[in-house]
Amino acid sequence: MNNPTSGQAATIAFNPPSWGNRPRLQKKWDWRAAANFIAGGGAGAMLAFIAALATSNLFLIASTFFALALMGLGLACILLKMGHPFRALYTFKHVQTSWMTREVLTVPLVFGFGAAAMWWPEQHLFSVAAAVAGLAFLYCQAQILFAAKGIPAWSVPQIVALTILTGVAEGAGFFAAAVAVLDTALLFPAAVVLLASLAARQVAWGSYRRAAGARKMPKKSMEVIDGIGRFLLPFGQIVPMLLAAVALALVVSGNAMVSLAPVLLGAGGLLAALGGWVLKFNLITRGGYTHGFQLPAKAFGR
Amino acid sequence: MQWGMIIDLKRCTGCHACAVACKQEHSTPSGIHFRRVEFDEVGEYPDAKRLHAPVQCNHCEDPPCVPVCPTEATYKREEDGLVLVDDDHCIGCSYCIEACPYEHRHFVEGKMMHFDEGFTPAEELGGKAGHDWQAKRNTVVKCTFCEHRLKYAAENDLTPGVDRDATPSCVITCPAQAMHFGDVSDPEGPMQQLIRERDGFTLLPEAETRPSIYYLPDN
Repeated sequence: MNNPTSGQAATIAFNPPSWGNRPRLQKKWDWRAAANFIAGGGAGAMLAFIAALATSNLFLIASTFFALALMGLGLACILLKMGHPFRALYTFKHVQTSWMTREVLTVPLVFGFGAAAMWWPEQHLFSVAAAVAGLAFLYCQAQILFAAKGIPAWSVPQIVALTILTGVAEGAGFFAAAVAVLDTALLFPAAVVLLASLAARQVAWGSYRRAAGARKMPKKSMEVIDGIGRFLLPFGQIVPMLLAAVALALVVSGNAMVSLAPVLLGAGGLLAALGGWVLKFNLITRGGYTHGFQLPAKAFGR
Repeated sequence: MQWGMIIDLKRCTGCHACAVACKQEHSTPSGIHFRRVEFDEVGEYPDAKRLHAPVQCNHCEDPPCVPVCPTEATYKREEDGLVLVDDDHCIGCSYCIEACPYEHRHFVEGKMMHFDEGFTPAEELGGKAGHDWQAKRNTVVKCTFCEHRLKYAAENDLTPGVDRDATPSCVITCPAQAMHFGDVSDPEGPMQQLIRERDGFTLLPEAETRPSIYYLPDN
């Protein structure tokens, strides 16, 4: 609205102050921050499945490359979000207490060992080291969210297990999709790990939802959390589990339709990953309401 | 030593003079307010009550913003407990903003000036605090308990909380004298005595941050 006297445009519309005592939606960690959690977490866990189960060099090289590219994409998004990306080297400074520093420290290890694993695929140790670094990256991400005490939906203790296990499920999903395309000899173990990780994610989600419901949580955060659950259960859990189970049954039975198994497993894997992406994107960009402001009853002399 | 503040809700009228004084002292960019005045209501007509509560960075004794900062740009000063930000090292990741339960950290971005015609002389100076706001662009800023006044106090043998030039501008501006500034770490000092007498409290105790700003109830 223009000032009728001077024509001066409204100045407060651009950076509105946080007047008012209701919880506000945080806007600083937007889709770019969510992209790092989404891409990096699944990629880190995928490296673990590659190290544990890959049998062919081609599969190891191609899937490791995919995982590293995915993690790199997430990190590039974070650089876009930072106010001063050219000061990025300072992020190594606070390893004593900052989970963000610890996350950043795992990055050169992931990429270094990952590159070595692609260059020397016969040396299994590099793949294992990349996997350990990737899982450490995922663990740090989980702790980063938990330490954000300004956002009630993120500082629920159960978010650590949820973040880790959805990362594992997403990694298993990507692994299953890679198996479907590159090495169908691994269909059986890929289906098993996908089923197991989806089951674990469901347990973690239930635990988080119960804990969030029991805490003093902004109403709008709970609405977002429940909305996530309405998508996650059917599309991110049940359907991919069914697809993986049918693929597994086809492989085990040697049924005539066994040629469908890779398609089913690949689709199940991608849906499992999508479920995790929906979870993280919504929790970070739409569920991040602050505590708001409230005075205790004693303030009013009552 | 821990600098802290007492805010008497019985005296606060919600006039916002403290918010204006802070704005003037620091010449914060458009949309950034180190000091806000929130309110809360209880009851229903005819037994309703509204209380105004000035809020700002609590300079917590266990600040959640400090351990999360990846660059140590946010730090707690040992000698007096102030929580400050080194804008030369801040990368603008906003992790501290997400970590603060009180929403008292602000990202400097967008429109820096209040008027389209350009910076006012006060804005160019960065207020009495002398902030270089262009240098702080894309970093996080917050209340400093008027650290420049505390520095002036140390250099000129003045007492913060007593001498006006050595006391945060919000405290000295309040027409109702609703605020006190001093050392809250001394259990027998005047600040803690007043807190005990009036049953003072802090905000969001469940966050376990141990704020250095205490509120006195309206009773």
